[in-house]
Amino acid sequence: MQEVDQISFPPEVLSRIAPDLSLERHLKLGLRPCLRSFSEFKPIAVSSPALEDEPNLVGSSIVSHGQTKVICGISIGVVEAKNQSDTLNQNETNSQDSKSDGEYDAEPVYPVVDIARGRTGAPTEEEMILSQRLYEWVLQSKIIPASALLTNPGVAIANQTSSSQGSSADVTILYPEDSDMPDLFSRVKPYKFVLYVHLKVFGRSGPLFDPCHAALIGALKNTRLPRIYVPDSSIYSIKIPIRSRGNFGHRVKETRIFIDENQDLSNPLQLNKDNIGGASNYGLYDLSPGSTSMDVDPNVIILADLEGDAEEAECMSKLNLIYNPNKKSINNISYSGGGMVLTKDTLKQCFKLAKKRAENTQ
Amino acid sequence: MSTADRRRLLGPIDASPLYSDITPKVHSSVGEAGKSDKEVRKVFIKTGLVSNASGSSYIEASNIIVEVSVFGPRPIRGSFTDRASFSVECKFLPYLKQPQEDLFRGDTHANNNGRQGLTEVEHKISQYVETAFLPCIILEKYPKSTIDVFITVISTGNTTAPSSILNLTNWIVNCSSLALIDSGIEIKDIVTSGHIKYLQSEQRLIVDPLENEEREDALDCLVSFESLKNDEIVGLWIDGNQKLLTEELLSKFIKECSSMSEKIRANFNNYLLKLCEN
Repeated sequence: MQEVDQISFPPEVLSRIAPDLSLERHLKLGLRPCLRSFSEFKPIAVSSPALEDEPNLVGSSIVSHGQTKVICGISIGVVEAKNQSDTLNQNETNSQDSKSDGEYDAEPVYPVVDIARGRTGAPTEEEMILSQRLYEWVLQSKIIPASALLTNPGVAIANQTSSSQGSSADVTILYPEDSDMPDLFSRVKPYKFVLYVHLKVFGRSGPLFDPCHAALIGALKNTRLPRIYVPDSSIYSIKIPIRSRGNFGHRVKETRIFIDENQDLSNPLQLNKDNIGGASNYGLYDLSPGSTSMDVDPNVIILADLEGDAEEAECMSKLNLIYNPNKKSINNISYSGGGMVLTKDTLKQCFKLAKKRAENTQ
Repeated sequence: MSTADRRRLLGPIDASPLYSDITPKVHSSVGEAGKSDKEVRKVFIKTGLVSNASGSSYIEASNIIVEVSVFGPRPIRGSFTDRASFSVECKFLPYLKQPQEDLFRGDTHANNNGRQGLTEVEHKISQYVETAFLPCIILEKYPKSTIDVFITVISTGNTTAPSSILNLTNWIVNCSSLALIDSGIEIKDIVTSGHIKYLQSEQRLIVDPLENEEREDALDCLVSFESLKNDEIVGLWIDGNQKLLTEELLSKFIKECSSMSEKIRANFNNYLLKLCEN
């Protein structure tokens, strides 16, 4: 019988053909394939670029997390504010809100995560899950009070003395708070901003919730809400034919709502900053897969900030934590993947790491 | 829209979009004001930023920011083909303003994040880049595979005038060249291009114009070259008042674009040599 030669591979080849073996060997040496130590995080940096001249863009941020880059932009739309009484007592309720914590209504944002992966088509499962988790986190942590998004639009009126053409220079915009013409605003409804978040991810190299979460917070922090106005009927109104069942060619008057591009009038978005936490993720890896005992296993390794395919694929159990340094509490826990017994000790250790991470990156 | 997009979180269906000011403002261009007519603006370039693409490059040219990733050669499914297929997709980030935006945004959702497919402008740019690069890539070397170029426009510098799209495309072509080089895909030559603006009334020829307001008497010309092959033209795009165009003017334009393209090419050569040294 012919003897089988033992083949050996250089590390970079082995990591591709047998990622599990490669990872195990690394970990036994006390190292990770990315050469970080077990509890070492990737550096994360949030910057706010000056993407000017885009009236619809109210906030933006760029996060670099290791090799991963996330570009986040917040744009706006409006809906009519449903609850009239809310808007009228806006100022009074606002002050009460901040006192009695948890008593106010919170508003969500609508995130869409787009991971550049060289394919087109419908969003992937990962993108959908990330978007949903960000949406739920904003709503659950109540960082955007409902009152922060309410706005009373102004009215643009044309100067009567000017020519009937109504050239652009003759338009003045009046706002309810600094005008003494209540009649003018009687038919103008209050509106509520809707925040749309778009996150573009380049160079994915690990779980993406942390950088996306950081990018979202970064962008929300520098969001400035502009004033909006409706034009007086004398200036601008369009009739668009719409088609509806049984009624063809019916005309509806559409009021367009405009953004006042005067930067001096815009206000920073009022966030409940106390509720903002820092996110971190952990993978649990069992060095002794043979043992089935339910005892505390000393061979469980906690890997902070997973990176690379091997770590992501082999750490079946993943833990994601959001620690809030202001309230000194864990805000959000998500644990996925089975096969591991999550012991109290492991959890405690993760909490400690999450606390450190959140305080360092704040 | 009758069918709601259930895969994306797009917010309330009754939300209405916001329109920019009625009163148009004169946007002064950020960055290098006072660039002379003959100069090409200074740019920042960087390759290999995106780790999971085969090749990538990033360019900042005053307020234009573009990222290009090349994926491939990747195997295709199905029957054998004797050469690679090449595709280009250019997408603006959804919150960026585009020319004729009202036309495609008109009756859709207020949230642009759910936009599917490409807009007119994105199609035009994609097509231009695709035609410009097809002759230079050695597709026969990669049978049964695809090479895909993904262009992301991160900032346009509020260039909504249709003519400014030419300037944007110019930098996209140059950026894509670098991304292709970074990917290591075999190419015959580096494609670079130049853009000039001609103002009839002032008899003024501006190389790489920063201001891009709409004018009646303006002509814009974008030409892409393969300079190794005797400056062969691989792409040509003219915009503006085409009644003004004469044969004499056109050859002048091409000459100017060629010299701008050469300048960029020289800079790229320099950049690539420096990369090799490090």
